[in-house]
Amino acid sequence: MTNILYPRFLEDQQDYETAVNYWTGLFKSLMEEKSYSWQPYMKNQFGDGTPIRDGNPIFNAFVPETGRAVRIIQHPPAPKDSFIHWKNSTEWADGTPFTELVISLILTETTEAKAKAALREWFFDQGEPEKVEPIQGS
Amino acid sequence: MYICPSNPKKPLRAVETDPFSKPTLATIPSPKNFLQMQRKEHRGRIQAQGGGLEASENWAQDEPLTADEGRSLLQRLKAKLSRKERKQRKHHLKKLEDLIDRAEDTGGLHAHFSKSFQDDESDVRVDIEVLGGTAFICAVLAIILWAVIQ
Repeated sequence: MTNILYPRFLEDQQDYETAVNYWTGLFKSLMEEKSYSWQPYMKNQFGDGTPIRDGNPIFNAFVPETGRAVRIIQHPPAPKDSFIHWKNSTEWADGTPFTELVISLILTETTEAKAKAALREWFFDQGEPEKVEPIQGS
Repeated sequence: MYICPSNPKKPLRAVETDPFSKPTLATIPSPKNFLQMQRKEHRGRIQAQGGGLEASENWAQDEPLTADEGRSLLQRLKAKLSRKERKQRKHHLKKLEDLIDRAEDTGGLHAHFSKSFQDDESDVRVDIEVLGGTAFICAVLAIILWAVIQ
């Protein structure tokens, strides 16, 4: 297993902020390669503004140029590296559908490289976004 | 300031809604957006996914989903799972229950809100998504908000 980055991010508020800034910096530099704009699309907080510092997600962004989004979940350290991802069809409050790539990982140098590759593929290499059907029952 | 009966020690803050907001050009019905306007304001879903499973419970309604209603949806979702599927997601379902409990005391959860509860190495998971409006507020607060809107 490679070096775990920000292993105490769930116990130490400073580490948590550093981890958030790490993801923000990584994503920002990635999007600058294509001059894409981006913005967070959800706040990990309760209705009264109390933040939820659980790394779920630790970072999220919507990229208007692609119509796609990413949500990154960071888990606390474990004996083995972990990296999985999936696509989730969801929708905005007005019912407009969009798809997010959900990345779930323990952050190490190895999984960081995998995350970068997955982000590149999702935002740069897929051509037109897939058509997403509106969610049933909404 | 309101007190939720389920947790009388914690006072609640009002949910951020503006029942007196005026319609804007964007909200005036047109053929194009009429169908979208028919969508319910408060919407979302909880799902049990991964490992070949895709079970879901949705809500779509005019008023915010209360925490009690959220717990009922969760029970309905659990009822759709086999014993093995429930066991695989035991911790994830508990985390969702805890989230609903905490949200009830802290003004609920506002859209867009998503969480996926899963183990770090598995796609077996439980998802919660608030797609529109507010969910998991205290029932008393919901009644007051509803009365104000009326």
